Amino acid sequence: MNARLSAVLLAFVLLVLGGCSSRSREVVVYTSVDQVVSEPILRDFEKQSGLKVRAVFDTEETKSTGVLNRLIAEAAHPQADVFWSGDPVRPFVLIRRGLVAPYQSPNATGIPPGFRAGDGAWTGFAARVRVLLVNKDRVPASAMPRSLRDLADPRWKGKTAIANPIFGTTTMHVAALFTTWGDERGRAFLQALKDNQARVASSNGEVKRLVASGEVAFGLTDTDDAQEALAEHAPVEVVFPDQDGIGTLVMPTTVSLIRGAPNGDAGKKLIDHLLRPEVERALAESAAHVPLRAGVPTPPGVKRAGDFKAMQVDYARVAEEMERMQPWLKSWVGL
Amino acid sequence: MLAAAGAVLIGAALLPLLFLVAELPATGRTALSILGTGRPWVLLLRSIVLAVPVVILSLATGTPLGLLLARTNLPLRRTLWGLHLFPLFLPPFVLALGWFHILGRTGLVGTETTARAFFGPAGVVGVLWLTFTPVCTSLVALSLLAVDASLEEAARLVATPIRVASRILVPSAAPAVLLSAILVFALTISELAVPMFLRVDVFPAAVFARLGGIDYAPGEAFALALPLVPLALCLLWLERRFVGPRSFAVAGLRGMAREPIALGPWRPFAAFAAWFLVLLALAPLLVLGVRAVRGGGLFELPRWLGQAPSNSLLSAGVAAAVIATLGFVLGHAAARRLRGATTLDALSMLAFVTPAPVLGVGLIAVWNRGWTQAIYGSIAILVVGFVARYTVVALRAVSSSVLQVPRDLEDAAATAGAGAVRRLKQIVLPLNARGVLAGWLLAFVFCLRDLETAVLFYPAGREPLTVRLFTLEANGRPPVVAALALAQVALTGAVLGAGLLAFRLRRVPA
Amino acid sequence: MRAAIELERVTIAVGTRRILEDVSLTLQTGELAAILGPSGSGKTTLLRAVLGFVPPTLGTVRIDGAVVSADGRILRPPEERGLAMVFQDLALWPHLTVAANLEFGLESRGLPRAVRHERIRAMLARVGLTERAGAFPSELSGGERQRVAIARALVLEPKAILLDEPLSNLDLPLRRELLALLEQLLAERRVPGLYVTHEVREAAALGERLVVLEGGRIVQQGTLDSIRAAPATPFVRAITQDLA
Repeated sequence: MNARLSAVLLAFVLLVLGGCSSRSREVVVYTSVDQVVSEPILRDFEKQSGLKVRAVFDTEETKSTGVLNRLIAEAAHPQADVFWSGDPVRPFVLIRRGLVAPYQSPNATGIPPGFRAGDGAWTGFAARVRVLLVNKDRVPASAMPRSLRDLADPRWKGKTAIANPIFGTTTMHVAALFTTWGDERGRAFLQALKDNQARVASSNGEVKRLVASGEVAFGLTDTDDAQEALAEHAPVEVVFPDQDGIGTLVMPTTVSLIRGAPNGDAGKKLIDHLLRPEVERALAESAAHVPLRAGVPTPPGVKRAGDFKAMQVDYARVAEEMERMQPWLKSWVGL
Repeated sequence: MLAAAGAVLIGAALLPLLFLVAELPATGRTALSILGTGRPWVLLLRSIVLAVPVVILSLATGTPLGLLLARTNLPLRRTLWGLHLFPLFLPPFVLALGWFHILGRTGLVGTETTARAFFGPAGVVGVLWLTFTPVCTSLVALSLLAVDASLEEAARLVATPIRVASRILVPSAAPAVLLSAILVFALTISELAVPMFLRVDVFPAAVFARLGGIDYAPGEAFALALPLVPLALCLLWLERRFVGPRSFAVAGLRGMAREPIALGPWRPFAAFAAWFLVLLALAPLLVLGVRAVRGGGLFELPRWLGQAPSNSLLSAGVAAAVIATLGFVLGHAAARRLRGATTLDALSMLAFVTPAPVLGVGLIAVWNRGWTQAIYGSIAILVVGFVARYTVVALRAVSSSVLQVPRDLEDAAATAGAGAVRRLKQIVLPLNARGVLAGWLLAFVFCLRDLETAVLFYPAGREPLTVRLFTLEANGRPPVVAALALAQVALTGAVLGAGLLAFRLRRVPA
Repeated sequence: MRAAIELERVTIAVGTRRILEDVSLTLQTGELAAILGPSGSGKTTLLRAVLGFVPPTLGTVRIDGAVVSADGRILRPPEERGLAMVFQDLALWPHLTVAANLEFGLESRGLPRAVRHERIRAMLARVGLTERAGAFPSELSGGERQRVAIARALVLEPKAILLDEPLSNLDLPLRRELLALLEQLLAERRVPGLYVTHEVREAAALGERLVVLEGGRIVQQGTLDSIRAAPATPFVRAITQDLA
């Protein structure tokens, strides 16, 4: 037993030592961008910079493990250097709690001012766009939906879908609508969706699936899911809603530096890397993300930021709205 | 010695829970007001309603199967038992994934209807039933093997085998049946990944999701989880009252050589039914294999595997060693009714049935500090989490083994002048080596298969394979995900194989 | 002269059951007392109280004049009492050889290796088990196992030896043989002993003094003749009448 005990202790000590070794040559990033998409980019960075990247990923976007919440839980003693968010709103939760250190990256200059903070608290790039995915077999060309309001059109009763608004990009979208339309109109819209028996799917991926298989006529989802459907040769078409009206919502991915980060300098290097045009291009190719800079080449089918009318939003206000409407949303969903 | 072991267990398991209780006053009102809304209770009810059919099905299939394995002349019983047990040692999520490839829309026999049925409560019940039945089978079988031969033989002189089985054997296995009911219930209630994957709202998932909502408050998560505590205590009381200390009996399979009950004309039917059940449970693994190979998943595997397998092995291995040591000391103390042992036993059981998110949040609160950085930032935190959660497994295995060794042997050692430590080392340990080894192996596979505990606080870049599988499943290519699942299966198989080899190699004189 | 073992008004209650009731017993150095009684009379509990496994609810236990248990507490743990016991089921450690079984206690007491080996050698020779030194208990016959148990107890050179129905599992010829061996050994070493049995003949053969235990109380003490002459209870009369 003595032998075994010493073996255990030795192993434990080694583990612990392994934990604290070489902290200077690594960077820790927490990201809610899909692992399939973000991991290759991080590997690239590893190769180019020689720094080791240690990452924490979210699970499905709707059933988040709370990468964000882990950051908050660890606030007393931050473990992460960089937060790479899949949407522009969650960083505000951190900013409000004072967990973000502003950083103006030299590579941020090409990003339009509406998509980054003036003080460098967050910088957006490679965006997803909220689109309507339409099943061509079920919707004749003449009846193509053009606006979000079509989701509540009685003509399509029970045949539309949105993802659960309590998670992910859908939360953001609803909050953005609330800031643009106002509370009353926003609530009325959601109620109308309920009345129209719009399917509440568990994720944007599920919405894509429902539309592609024809179970619903069309649904609200993200551009990367839409692109997947196209790649799978589903009979679908992508519509950028409300081009004649409020515009289509753009959700940049964003990076922020964590205050008190264990490897601040390495974190800055990672941010600089992520903000390079090459990364926007890579994300356009791998996940149909829309580049925010001008002049970034995109594969066919992937629009650029200048090609369409974007919804005008103040992401800070959207963040506030998201928190404010949480209780109401929860009751709408039934949690 | 007991005090030291107890201190470690308390440090690992009780502290996080205490910290959360301490947080309650801070978040206080809002936290507890949630409990007043009724919604958590509805969800809890839903979880219970889901767990009940799983338990019933598991008992209904596990009890007769256990009887068949232990006391009849069913062919190839040992092989059957081994195959039957295997899915239990995998994360249920892996099996759900395999079933998705069978019943899902694009699956082997999948249609719209099967998919709809699968992604719902029926799917959860089905998957968990197939996963957890081996618990009942094995406990019943082990309990029957431990029955005194003469009791059975006396009955067989005067009654038909069926009567013997139903009137003598099965009733003697009643405590085992009850214990498996409790265990299956606890395992089902805490199961997180499968309901989440199959999009069923259950209570622990809600607690988990509460952590994923936009405003984070650990006190709230804890308040939400409070209803589960009386449930856990209830299970504990049931276990204490009706099952007694003879749980997790791993006495040994020597009883299998005893003259079995002949099944006669029923033999082919029984064999068919048994093999059908076992192969049904293993089918998803086969399908995963096919999916991985077709589509080049295996080919891409190295790129996506990363360090995850070694993280899994290392954290599980070290945790298992710590758990085996703790389990040895505490299990012996529990069996011999030493002072304080019963409380520690209860604590370890409580940690086992506490929902993982609650434990996780508490662990973060305790260990994420400047001076504990060395532990929190490394795999060591996983070890702490595993030790808190799974010590009960080894504790019960050892306790059961110790109960079968006459107390006189220890008393003789004490009389001869050996102190407590010497007695443990030189008498108790050698005589219970199999029990300790069994406890170690069980703890190892439980840690290996763990997802819920690790997912909340795994150190960045050092995730175990189960977590990696879970995060990649969201948008990874299905063949790659299938290949990762297979990697987990292979890892488990390797560990089990090594452990069983260790069993063979040990020679303890009877 | 200090008594080897002394029980003073020892009462042991478990719940509402009184297993021993106001038992007082003194064992002098070199004396061998036999404790007689039907099953359930508390004989084994008495031994366990002396050994230190059961605290006396009331009363005091002394060994060599020193108080080892009193006031419901065990003041000195079993491993420090310097006693030896031959258990009813012998309790030979199955994973240790015969020699190792004997060595265990000597090692615990910290005796140097040379001394240990010499004592073991001598003891094994005395009980006739020298060739079996490397065998495991499972490989021995019933009589051989008995001898190992006795040897294991005596090799410690204890302050007193306690025996709990040690011969009950043996057939008659073996019993006689081992009884004779025991008699010799105990006389040689002048070890005081407490011998528990329900067999009057054994008790009579070994013990100068008989102590009869019934329902947890000592109902009579004395030599066999004195007891036979004036039995205190029907039970005593019944058992002594058997003897020739």
